[in-house]
Amino acid sequence: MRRLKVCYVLSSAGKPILLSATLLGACGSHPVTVGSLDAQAATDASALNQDVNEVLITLPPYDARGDVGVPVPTGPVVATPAGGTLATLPDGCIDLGTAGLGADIAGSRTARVAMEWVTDSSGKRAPVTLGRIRIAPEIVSLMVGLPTVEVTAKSPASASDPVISNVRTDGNGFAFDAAWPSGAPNDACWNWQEPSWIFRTTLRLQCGGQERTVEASTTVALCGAGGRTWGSSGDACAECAQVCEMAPSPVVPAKADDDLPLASALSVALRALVRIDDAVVLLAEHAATGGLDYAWQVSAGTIEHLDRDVVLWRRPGSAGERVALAQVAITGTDLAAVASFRWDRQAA
Amino acid sequence: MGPAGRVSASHVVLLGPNQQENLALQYLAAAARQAGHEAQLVGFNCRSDTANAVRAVAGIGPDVVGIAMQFQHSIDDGLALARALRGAGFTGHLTCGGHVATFCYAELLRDGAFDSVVRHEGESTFTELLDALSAGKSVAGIAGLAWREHDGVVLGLPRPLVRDLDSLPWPERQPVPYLVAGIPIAFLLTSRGCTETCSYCSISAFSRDASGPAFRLRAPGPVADEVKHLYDRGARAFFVQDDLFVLGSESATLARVMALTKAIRLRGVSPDSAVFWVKGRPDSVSVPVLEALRTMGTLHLFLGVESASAERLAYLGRSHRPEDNQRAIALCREHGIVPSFNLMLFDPDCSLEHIGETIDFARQHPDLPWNVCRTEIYSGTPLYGRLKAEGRLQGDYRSYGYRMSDERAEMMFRILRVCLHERAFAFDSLLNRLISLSFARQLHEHFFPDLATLQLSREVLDLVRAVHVDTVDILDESRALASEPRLDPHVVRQRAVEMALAASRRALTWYSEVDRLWNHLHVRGRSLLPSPAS
Repeated sequence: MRRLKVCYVLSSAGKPILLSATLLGACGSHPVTVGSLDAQAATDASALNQDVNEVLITLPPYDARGDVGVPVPTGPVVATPAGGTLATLPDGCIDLGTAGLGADIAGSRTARVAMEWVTDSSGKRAPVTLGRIRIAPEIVSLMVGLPTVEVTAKSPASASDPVISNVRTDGNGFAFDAAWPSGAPNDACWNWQEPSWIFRTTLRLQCGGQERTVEASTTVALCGAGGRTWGSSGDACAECAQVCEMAPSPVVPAKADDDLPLASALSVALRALVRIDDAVVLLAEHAATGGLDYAWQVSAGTIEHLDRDVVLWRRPGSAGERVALAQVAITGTDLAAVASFRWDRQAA
Repeated sequence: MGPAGRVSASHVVLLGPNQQENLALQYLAAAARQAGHEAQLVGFNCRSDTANAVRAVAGIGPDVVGIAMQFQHSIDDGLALARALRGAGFTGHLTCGGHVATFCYAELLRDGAFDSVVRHEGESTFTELLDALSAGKSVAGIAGLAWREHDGVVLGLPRPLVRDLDSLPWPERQPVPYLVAGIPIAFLLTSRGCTETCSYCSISAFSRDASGPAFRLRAPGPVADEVKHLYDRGARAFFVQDDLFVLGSESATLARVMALTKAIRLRGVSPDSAVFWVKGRPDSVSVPVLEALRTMGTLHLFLGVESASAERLAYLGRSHRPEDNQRAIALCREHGIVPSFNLMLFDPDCSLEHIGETIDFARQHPDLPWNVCRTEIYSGTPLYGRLKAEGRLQGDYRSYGYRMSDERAEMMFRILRVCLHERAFAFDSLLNRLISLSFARQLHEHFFPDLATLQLSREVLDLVRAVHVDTVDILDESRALASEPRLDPHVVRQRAVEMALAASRRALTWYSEVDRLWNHLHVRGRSLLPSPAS
């Protein structure tokens, strides 16, 4: 199993700056690290006595045995919610690089908030929604008391304000009620644009005889026509992107037994694992194993290889083109596939 | 395996695609509720939704879970979801249904973690299943059901199709309507089944495999009642998901459409304030039919063009001729109805020359919303039977495939599989999104006819035209490559990759334009459309 660890700091202006991206478990047991410390960022971080933040993501395949793994953030993910603060685990308490993560934790967020509609027996939405807080089990075991939850930001400014209450235990995690005095939100744009809220979860952990406070922020947004679907940082929504009679995608058995070229089919998707400002880590996700060649190219910026199928793509600063493209061509003896990732600064 | 017959209460979660609502599951949920059971729908569109779906089921804690399996390509995802549910500790009754499940029940019960399969139309079968489970009884003997018994599979007696569609409760829709271009849209069925016998069609096969009439119409009054109900909820556009809305006979269509129009108007819904998307066949389109559809408020007609080759149309079991395609499109243009269509470029016995005829057809209509595809093989269809008898069926029930008899056609398909995947074949392909965008701009032309809309419409049409011209070029290039003699595998692979990379680069700004226009129309529609209350 491979895991990606991304380290970054926040500049004095609150801008996340990448320090390094490391792939653990690739190429035998040797970690591969790319990225370089930004001098100004280091100075800023040092001046602020700021911790280095980490994002840790487990890479696919998750479901080789049909089980459920850690959901990978997809789409143009901003792992750092604007104005949010990722949790930083206390030194000597838990080593995130080796600790197993719970199935519901995306990235290395210590806590992740997800919202659900509550409906009555007639299927009507209640004015109170259910918030669930997922926390890695090894962290839950260190917790002192219940977490606290608050909304620290919202977009647009006119979005409803939830009133949070009744924080309680819920299975392996926690839950809370979010009342919407001005009515449950039901208006949403496509693709998680808005409305959205940043929920900050604060935990108290008992670490080595000391009590530490840890904060984690999650962006929670509504998507789907009529604001039907809740999503949290890293989720993707394609619920209402289409309204048409769709042509069927071709279904191709694993391998055609013939001597014609391109006998095998390969379905590839380029997924953004994490994005820190002008850098994004991309994974070429597919189901094939071994014996494949990868050729990466980008329309702007540079690529650094973490593995054959995982790269760090840095785009030039804001002066560059609005939309840039990363492509990967994967070839094997009897197959070829190409996948693209479009990065639109305006959409992101 | 879930212990059938041990459930004390019937609370069911239905899992299936929800991208354009899911009337099939919503009808099932409504039937379950009417019988006194609890039912909830959870979206499951593809494999990557598995974790969320499992989490949702665990949170709800149902006694029964049903998984929709409509198409061959959804089987693997459904099997994985069933395994994941069991792996996560779900011990209740696990069932599935849909077109493919109806035909592949034995394989699904053999390979999957399912306790039963609901075959054909499921409202009565599913409700009886829930009744039995909630009463602690065995599900054995329920008509329309297949179930496990002593490590074997037992098939219940066949259950006839629902004769009176108006006896069914309305589908249990989401609390608020879907929005397209900021306009609330509702999905609707006014009939079930089809009168035709196309060789590749799973709908026809599904209806004909069960007893009872394959095609059934709802009465105009109840349809109009449902339209009014949805209109009162805010819906202003109605996506009619009937497999056959425009009937085979002109007189029957006119009588039907006029009766629907009259009934809808009687309930206070005018064509100015409510519009329709319907489906029809090219040989059923005539001036009177289009005039009647226009009077009803129809903006968009999904037209079953399929191919521009007479030979291919005959092979596919279509009743129309290529000239019907051109005539229908010309008439639609004259009557202000936009036709969209999918072109089935490939089938098991097509030739490169046949494909060329259909590419030429696409070239003539760059401004219309269309996509291209290969004819897929669905269980139970005549084409499935034909390929099986000919020993040409590849793969298994989870992914049937075939090799075309014309090697050049097969080669062209394989090249396109590489270079046109993102553009045409993927779920969120550029061409699919352009069809959606075309409907969105039609909605604004209808509801907000001003200069700004005119400009937006031009932008959408320019975009559609540019992408289609480029797509036809790709089709031409791949066809030319496939027709070259003695193709070197390395050269073909390299050329396909180069074409794919170049196609993707050319499409870079088009994707952003689709996003921009789609979102702009959405926001604009929300701000311009008066609320139902006003």
